[in-house]
Amino acid sequence: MNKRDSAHSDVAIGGLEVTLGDSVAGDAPSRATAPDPDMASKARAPLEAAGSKPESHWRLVTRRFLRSRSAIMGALLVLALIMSAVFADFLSPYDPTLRDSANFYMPPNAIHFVGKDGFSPVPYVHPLETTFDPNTFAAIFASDTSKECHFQFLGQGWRYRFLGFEFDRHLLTPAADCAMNVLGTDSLGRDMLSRILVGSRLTLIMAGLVVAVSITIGTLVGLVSGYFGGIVDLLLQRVTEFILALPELPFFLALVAIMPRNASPTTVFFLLAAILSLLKWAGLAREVRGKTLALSRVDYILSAEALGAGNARIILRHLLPNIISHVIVVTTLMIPQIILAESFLSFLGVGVQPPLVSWGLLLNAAKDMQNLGSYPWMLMPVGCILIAVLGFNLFGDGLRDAIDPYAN
Amino acid sequence: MKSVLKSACCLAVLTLAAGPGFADNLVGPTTLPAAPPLPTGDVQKVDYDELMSVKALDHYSEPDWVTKLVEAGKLPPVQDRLPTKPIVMNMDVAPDGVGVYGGVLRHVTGGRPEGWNWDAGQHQGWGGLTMTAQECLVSTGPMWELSDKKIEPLPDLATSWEWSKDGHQLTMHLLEGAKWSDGQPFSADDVMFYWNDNVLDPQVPARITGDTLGKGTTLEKVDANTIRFTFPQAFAVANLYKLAYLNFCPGPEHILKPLHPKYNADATYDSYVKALKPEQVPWVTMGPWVVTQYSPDQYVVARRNPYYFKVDNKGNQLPYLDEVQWRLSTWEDRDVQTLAGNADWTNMENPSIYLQGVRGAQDKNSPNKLYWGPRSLNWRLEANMSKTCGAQDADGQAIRDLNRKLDFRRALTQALDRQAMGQALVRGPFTAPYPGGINPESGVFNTDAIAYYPYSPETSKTLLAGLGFKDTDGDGILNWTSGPLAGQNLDLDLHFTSQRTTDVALADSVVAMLHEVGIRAVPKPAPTLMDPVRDSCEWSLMIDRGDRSYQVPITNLDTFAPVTYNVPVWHRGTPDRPQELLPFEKKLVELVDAIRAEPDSQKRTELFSELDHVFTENVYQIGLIDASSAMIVNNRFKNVVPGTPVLAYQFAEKGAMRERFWIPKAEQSAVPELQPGVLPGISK
Amino acid sequence: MIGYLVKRALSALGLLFTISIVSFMMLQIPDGDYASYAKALAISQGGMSQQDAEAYAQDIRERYGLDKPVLVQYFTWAGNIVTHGDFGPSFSYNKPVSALVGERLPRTLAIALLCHLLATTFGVSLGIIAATQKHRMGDTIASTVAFLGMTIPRFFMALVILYYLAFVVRWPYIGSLYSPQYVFAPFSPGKLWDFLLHVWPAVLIATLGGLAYNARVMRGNLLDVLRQPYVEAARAKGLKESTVILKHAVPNALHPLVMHQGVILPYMISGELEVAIILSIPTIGPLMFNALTQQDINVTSSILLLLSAVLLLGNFLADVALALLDPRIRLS
Repeated sequence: MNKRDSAHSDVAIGGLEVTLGDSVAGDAPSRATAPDPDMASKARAPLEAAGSKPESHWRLVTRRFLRSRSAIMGALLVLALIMSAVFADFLSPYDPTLRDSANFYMPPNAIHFVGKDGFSPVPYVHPLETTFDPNTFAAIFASDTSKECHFQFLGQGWRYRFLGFEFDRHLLTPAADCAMNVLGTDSLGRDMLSRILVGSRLTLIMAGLVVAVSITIGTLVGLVSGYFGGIVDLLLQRVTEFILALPELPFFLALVAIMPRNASPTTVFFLLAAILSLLKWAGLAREVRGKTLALSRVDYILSAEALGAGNARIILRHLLPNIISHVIVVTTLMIPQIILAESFLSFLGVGVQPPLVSWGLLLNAAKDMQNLGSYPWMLMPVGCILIAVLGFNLFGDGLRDAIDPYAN
Repeated sequence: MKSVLKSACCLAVLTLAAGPGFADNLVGPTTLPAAPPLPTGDVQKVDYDELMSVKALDHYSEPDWVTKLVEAGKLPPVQDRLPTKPIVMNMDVAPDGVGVYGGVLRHVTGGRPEGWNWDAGQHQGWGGLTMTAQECLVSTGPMWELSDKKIEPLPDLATSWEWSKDGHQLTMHLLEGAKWSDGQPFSADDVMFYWNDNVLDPQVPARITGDTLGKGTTLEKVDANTIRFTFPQAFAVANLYKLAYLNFCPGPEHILKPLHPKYNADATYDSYVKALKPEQVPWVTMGPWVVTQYSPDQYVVARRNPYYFKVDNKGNQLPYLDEVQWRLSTWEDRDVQTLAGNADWTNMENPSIYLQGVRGAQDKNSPNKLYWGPRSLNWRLEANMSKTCGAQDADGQAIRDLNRKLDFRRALTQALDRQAMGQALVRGPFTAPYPGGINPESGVFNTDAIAYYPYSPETSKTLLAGLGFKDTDGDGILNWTSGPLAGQNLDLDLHFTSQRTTDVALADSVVAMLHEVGIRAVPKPAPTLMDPVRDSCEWSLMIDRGDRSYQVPITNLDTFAPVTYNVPVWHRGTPDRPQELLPFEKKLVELVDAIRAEPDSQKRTELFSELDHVFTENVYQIGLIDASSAMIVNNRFKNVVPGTPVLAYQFAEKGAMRERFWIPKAEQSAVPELQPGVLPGISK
Repeated sequence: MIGYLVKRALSALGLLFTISIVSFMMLQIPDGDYASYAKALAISQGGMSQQDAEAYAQDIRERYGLDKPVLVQYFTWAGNIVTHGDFGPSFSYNKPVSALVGERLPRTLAIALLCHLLATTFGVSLGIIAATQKHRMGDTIASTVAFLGMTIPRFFMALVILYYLAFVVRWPYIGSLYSPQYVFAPFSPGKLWDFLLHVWPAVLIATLGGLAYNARVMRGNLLDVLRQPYVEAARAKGLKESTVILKHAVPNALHPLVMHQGVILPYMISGELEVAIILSIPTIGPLMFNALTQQDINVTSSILLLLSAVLLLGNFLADVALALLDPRIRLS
């Protein structure tokens, strides 16, 4: 009894750490601190289930997941995001880096389906004409309803490479003689829709990369530290504490200076991901360590040890499967954090650099007061971040509710 | 080469990309396209002698509440407080004439006062505060308003000056009988203390050194109100401009001398520099307002200086305004607070806020008026041409060698669509293409003198091909085909400050446009201003904002030619290894030297034209855009001159002559005084 | 127990030392120093020539020892802290860092505490509503608020609020802490009200962020606790549902949040930082950010040290609390 209680307290340390760094993901482990005389027995059942018959466990999870409407919505949003990121080039009507010095700061151009020739499944837009207010120099836009500019379905447009092949077909190709910017254009006349679509790619890759790396490191460190204990644990814990206490802001500002002088934007991107990963794994490591500490005192692991099972076998066969559910949850909940972190970094000017495009970079436009006042469509990426964060959070929450062995 | 370029310019035909060697296909140079007109309104120029004069008047007056203090015996009468011959500002040439006393001006500054020992290089918090505290030998700020008849620094602490026959000596007559704000007399001793014990004392971090006015310059006191400079160079007219704000502004000797380690055994140089903390009020100054209250990080309050040495032509002692306040905040906050009506003045220098400012000012309820000045702010792209400073490895040297080639600088400049770049910053007539060199909307600019390389990506591509660049790997970026970087992409690091949104936006444009001709500019935002990066010498391309020397070249000729080892900033050497000058740079140095020694202003202007010709023809610097800027001042204020430039000889706070500002009686109560009835150092 | 605490305290001190040295080094990485900032200002504001400005910068370097090797600078700075408790001067303010931070810290703490209080009160209430109304209207609304607070980037919220206040309604209380007439006035209820009028946007934004966290944790915990047998038992005794929830369930569900208090300060400060920079409210946030851009090294490294110390102290207290709760920890 005593053992188990202490185990839960360790879990609580993990919970505390998360709360400190970032806001999500903290409540699952910390719930365990609620005084609950029956907790241990409750905990054991799914643990054992997970250890011996993983298939049935995952089937149970799937069933529970599908029961939640919000979880399904989250999953669909995430799926849509990933698909649009993968096929961003195909979906983008314009080359996202193409300047158009005749059509800059254009507002979103509404699409229509019913026109002179009746309903058409391929939409069209009315071209916009720009005049200036002679006093305020504000641009005034009017659509020329006499003209219809039709998109072409699967037409030929700008060239892009995908999986090593070159393509030029797009879902909707704009007419060459017409500015057809469904979400407007930016200061250099680049198409916002295309930029948002292509930008989602880097944003998601960044999030995926950082999460993958920090989750791997965090889980490994946590497992090793928690399982082996002793001097290894002591050392790893100091490193973890150090990382957790590192001040982020100056770290990021110094980061720009560390970058090699001719580092290409791609290199900068990967270095950025590396640094974010470096800062993000520590929280998870603490949680996993707590869980591992708790688990390694559970009877069946002790008996496995007694039976002479190797360390690797115990870690891989017995500990990892029990921790993986927690890790998956943390993963989905960490992604939105990275998306937000990337946007703040870009806001500070140290994030993704042009000509690469990411949502954070696009959101840098918010710094410009004229965009808030005159060109609000430039702030559209906030909406995208909102949707992405919503999707991943709903998905993550649903997943946690489905996986969490303490629930129900 | 020149003739080839000229003929290409006359053809002015857009030709399609041709292989290298077809020099005839190059476009430009042409003349600079005319910039769209600005909503500046008519700028009335004023003759030198009309603006102000130095003379005694029959009668002087002051605000009633000050007279009451005089009657109570707390203060000498006004005629005793003024110099025997005060500086008389002629209000007949001011837009709203003679004003009434009273009212408050609210400034915002992003700086923080270090202290008020400006003899030892301390600043007082910028944003008009340093300018209020420091009065200098001569005044250049209002010179932008002078008509062409005579453009020379205006009197300030020195009221007149003459050159000796041989042109080596400059004798200056100081204000007679003028007093510091604590009532102590001002004299040549204040100037001598500044020169001998601050400028010439290597342990005091004064703003200038003994060499600033030329190595071997001496200064002597002739009598209590006269000083004499002896310069090694004859008729060093440019030096007159260096006796103005921030270079030659003496502090109160009677306060500073006892704190100086030379005269006080207990003092150290460190204690001397820091001796006058901002908390120590009232500050002692010659300026129009005196700081009487200070709350760190929050507010500074300054009250009228009863000893100020200027009067209007009716004998009213200036300033008209009784109080000036500074909110200690950030520079961004200055725009925001002013547009919101919570402060009275901002220099709108950030194009991304212009539309907001214009729209706000059009509003019937707008608290402010906009005063557009000329396009005096420029942004430029610099290509580092230094062989001796930084980048000593083979790769770095290869890039510097490339930057030193005219064809490459030309390829850079013709890849930039300045029209689009300016419009991307702010739509409307506010920006114009900037060819580099002297600012087009400045006094000495001559359109016919400059060579303007127009936007022509095809020309850029041709030139780049001619330099041997070729996209060998099909990634859209050109590759080096020879040298240590052979096979690599043509990547150039592009540095800019992330502190100004304008610079960030311009960097975005430059990256996009260079990409179109196959050059990859790798953005390197710096959270600081550009100077640290520049001093490191480790950069290839840099975007920066021009300062006043592009508008008024005479104030700082170093900007235009490699006259010493660390100028111009894009071609520096080190103290041991000076620059390896290109032929045209030698020509520039000669021209600058000629300008320095030319006393005739007409001939000087001609020399400037020649300088600008060599400068722009060789694309010594890649101009980006010129932007106008506006002073936004609250509606209450009178005597604000339309067309006041935000930055010319000085920033607008010095140039607008705030001591002439006034507020009609009825509007004075809109902003209450924080210290009504208070005079510095005098209790009610 | 004492031995365990001493061990933890020593390791925290060691960590503090490491962090201070790493952050000090890190701050030195970018090109230039404070003198180059002063030089930039001398050129742009004062129109000085490169030569004069460089000589002026060199003077500053010598005076503040910025020309010495980084390690020497570090040990001078750290040494003075250990021996005299002196954090060195701020170059740009020309006054001791301790005085500077001393001025701003109380305000920062006041605002952070206010945010924290509000975030906890509203967060916990929202959490209770969400848990007791699971999958009903209340839950949806509470979750939405919590979600928005967590999702919208704080800097973006701050910008939009600033834009609205400054350009649309011309709000007289933006930026700063007080209106001019209150700056030099002694404390009064009017001054407090004026203060609140100035800081509410920062409080609102930071509260929204913190609230989301509290609400989520509270909801989760309360749902768990409500399933416990003793809650069932209380219900079976015929107690009113509200009594059951507020008297029995909520106090137990609060435990993890209570433990969380030890580490909340740095979190609230970092939230305040982001917002205060944009809204120009003179607290620690903008001070640190400006010092970073001006390379005023003593200010930045001192604030970082302070933040890390607070964070470690929080961790340490949390550990102590846990050790008190569970004797096994200090034995192992």
